[in-house]
Amino acid sequence: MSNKNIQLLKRNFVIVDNYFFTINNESASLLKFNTKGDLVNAYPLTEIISNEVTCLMHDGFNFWSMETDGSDIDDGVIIKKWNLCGNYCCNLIKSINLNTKSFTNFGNVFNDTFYDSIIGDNWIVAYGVWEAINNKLLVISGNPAKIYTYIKTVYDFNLSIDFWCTGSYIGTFNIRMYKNDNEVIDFMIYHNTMYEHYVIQENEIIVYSEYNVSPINLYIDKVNDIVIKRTDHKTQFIINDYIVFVSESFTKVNLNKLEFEFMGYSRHIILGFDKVSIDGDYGNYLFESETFALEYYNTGFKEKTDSGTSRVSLLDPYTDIIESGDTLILGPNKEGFSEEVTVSGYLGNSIYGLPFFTFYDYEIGDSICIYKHIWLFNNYTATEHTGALYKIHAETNEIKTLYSGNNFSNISACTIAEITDIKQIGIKNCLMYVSAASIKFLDVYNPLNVHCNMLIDNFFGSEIFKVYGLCVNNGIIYRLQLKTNYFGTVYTETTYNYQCSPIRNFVETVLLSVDPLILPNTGVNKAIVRCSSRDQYGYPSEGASALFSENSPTGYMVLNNYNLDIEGNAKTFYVSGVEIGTITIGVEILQNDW
Amino acid sequence: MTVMSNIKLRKANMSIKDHYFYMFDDDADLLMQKVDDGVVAFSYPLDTPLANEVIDSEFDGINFWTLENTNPNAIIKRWVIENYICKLKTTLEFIGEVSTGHYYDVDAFSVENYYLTISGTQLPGDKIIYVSPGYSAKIMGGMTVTLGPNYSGHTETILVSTAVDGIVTLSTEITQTYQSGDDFRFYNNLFLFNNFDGIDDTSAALYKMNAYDGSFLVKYTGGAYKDVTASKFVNTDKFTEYGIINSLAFVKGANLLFINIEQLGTLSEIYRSMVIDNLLVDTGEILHVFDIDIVDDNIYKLQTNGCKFGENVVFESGANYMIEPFKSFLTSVLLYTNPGIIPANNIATTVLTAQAADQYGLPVSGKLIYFSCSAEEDDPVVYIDGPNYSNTDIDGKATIVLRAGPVTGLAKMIATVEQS
Repeated sequence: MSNKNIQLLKRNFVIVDNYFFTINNESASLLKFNTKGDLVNAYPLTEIISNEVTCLMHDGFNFWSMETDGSDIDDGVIIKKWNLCGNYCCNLIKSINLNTKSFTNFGNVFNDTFYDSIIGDNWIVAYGVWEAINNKLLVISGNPAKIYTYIKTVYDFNLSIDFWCTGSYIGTFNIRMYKNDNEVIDFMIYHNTMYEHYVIQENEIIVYSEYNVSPINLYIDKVNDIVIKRTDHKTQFIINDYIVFVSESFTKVNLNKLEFEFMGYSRHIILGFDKVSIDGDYGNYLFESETFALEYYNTGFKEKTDSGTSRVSLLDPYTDIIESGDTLILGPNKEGFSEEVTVSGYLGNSIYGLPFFTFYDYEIGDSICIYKHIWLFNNYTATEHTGALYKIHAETNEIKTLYSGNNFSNISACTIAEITDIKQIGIKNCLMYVSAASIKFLDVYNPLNVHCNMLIDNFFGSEIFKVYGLCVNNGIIYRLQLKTNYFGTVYTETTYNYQCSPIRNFVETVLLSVDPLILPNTGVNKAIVRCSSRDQYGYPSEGASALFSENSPTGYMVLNNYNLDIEGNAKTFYVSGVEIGTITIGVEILQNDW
Repeated sequence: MTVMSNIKLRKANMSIKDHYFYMFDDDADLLMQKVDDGVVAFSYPLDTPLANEVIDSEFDGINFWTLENTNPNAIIKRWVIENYICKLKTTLEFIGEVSTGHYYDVDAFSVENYYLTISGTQLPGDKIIYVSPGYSAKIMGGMTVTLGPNYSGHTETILVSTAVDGIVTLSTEITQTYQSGDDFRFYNNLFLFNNFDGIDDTSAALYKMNAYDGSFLVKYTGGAYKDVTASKFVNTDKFTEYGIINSLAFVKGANLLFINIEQLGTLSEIYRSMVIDNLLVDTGEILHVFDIDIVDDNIYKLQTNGCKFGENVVFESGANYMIEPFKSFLTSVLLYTNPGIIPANNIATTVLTAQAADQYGLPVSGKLIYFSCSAEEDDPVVYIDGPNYSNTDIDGKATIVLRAGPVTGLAKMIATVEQS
């Protein structure tokens, strides 16, 4: 026997179809092991990750990983969605950057080809046609050159961009600003000492300017306000604190993309960034987290569905779960094909409408997967160093709810599973996380409601051993640990291995009491012998058999076999013998279900 | 731990020709030819000294090719053995510069090459050569082809003028007679596994270059191409469901992946993946594979240490090969129970499932699996309830029933299955 089994080099794992998967960032692979630790397959990652993955989840189709993006608190965490779509690779589908990252310069962002020199800490001079850069933070490509910066609802940075050309004519300069639907965008253009105020309610603003006539300045006051100002010689684009011009007429607008388009000669561009929030939705949050759980649901096709259909019928409609805008993963079908579709609305009778037509054919029972939320255990509530449980929409990345409390701090392992084997709570979708030497079972629909609390054997004496990962499979909770209490012996390994805990109620503790403890040796005096048994959740072990025993030559139990009552208790009587001495009373609890 | 050796190469590059193992030694400036037990069979001095270590070598049936990684540059050379000398024929230097838009950090490359046969008899003076069809898109004017050896052992390499399917027009007349079935070989492209995607070292790319002038053709971006140290182009029909596939096999971590080069840039470019015995026992560390070659049903991996049959292997000296089979072999057995924990009450039962898979991760059906339990017979944790054997089904699964014993504990179950 050994406490070692899968011997993972990295601290993340998830069980899919009884196989153990882990992402090893050093070999850039998703590795698949059997229960003994034999490598069964490996899938190269299509994107290199430089940080160790601290948590891995599976939604029935996609893998989801979490990594810490650096050593600073504002580096935050990255959650990535991957899948194995038949090409023997682990394909990156999307990244969610939960950070408030700051850059002091963009030397590591821009393609070396395109910048000539760095002026000071915050400035880069660049030329001509630029290519796509990491994270799509800025993209400058094509001819005419374009700059995109993806900026969302919360800004916490200063940005200035200066454009000029050594020649007298640099062509037409177009600026497009995209914003979210249903928002009003106000901006002003300062031209020949006069301000021109525009209010445009379309999703797109286009400002045309002939550079040789008069360059323009763009100013973004505060987070979402925009001012455009024209001055001679150069164009500036400024956000937040770098304010050159402020107008009282500004209203807020949610920008999600800025695009600069140049037509004409190649030219010098100076980009200056003071502090930039990438994916700025999270500018007001700090993220320090080791683990998250994915809320997902699996069902199947209720009806045969041909390609080109704009509706799907679900075996379990999950009407309380699925909302318009949610993503369904259809398939794989019998040919192995799958697709993601967006729900446009519920049509009744377990049928959901889709805004587009399906691409493949599906049979009754083919898989449908719905992923809903990322439940993130963060050591910060917004920017305060108080633990919090974040509920983040897995598709839109929007923070839906935040539950603050230090009980959510420093959590290293969690998962979500439908629990069916705990008699006292029935069938429940539970968010489970390891807290010290126990696993808390929270109600996914109301995380403030704790269904139950399971005692686990990840301790020895007063030392509690860290659990790095949690997964539920076949009625067992698998815990990933380095240090274990293995049948009373402590082992410290250099590899990560799983330890098991049953979910179904199991007899865990027995309390035995005798009253009175001293009897006369009369052969007739009685003492009440009580036992009380609890399972790993602290629930009474109702119905289990209690077998009482004693070692007296002449004393005896009145009855020695009882079933535990609803309180988990049983009692009998010990009748004293005629000898003087110490009698050992014992009880054995037999779990007689199967 | 097993101690062994076979070819004992001083330098970690290897190519196989006619079952001999060849290695370029930049210290001695020679091409070493060895037999399987490491004995030197022959050596060929290089006519041009090597300035850098050769980290990968390939043989395309006619030419030897070497790779020198001089990050941010790379050098690929073509060599031919003539008159007992290994003569340098072509040097392709890939210069990594900002102005070119590419840096090169290449540890593995492969030569796209084809082995056709001549159709009908070709006589001296012929310029139009009839060959096996199906390769019209692969051969074109400006390339060279090698005919032969013919019955008298002669070969000749001639420039191609034009080519259509099954017919190749040469720029000069042939001087020998060739019979139907004689060899007709050519190469066209190089594939470089570059740890740069352009000049971005956070990703990687598979570069396709013209093998004649080294010009850049196209690159395919993907993290799967990073840190690849061994690859081999192979025109294989080993996977019967696919037919003959022009494949680029490469080692990534603990897997050998097969790219269908006709599908490059699509989701189905990688069409097979084979797990290789490449994890160090106990630590799980992935072992470095320096080079691979594929001969018949065998895949030869050049390593400086290894593992096999659940044991670590230490080599007595140098780099040696470890073999993997092409043919489907039973590789892993997954054992699991549902439920996994049952009460020790002599009543409770659980289903034990064994799931057998080959090195490609595919289920192995029709295998008889025997189950046993390591628990004490006198005081068992579980009993096998019924037969202790079962056949794997189409999903590779075989099941038996276990019944709880009277004592608590951990039951270690063993499944034994034979490759037949």
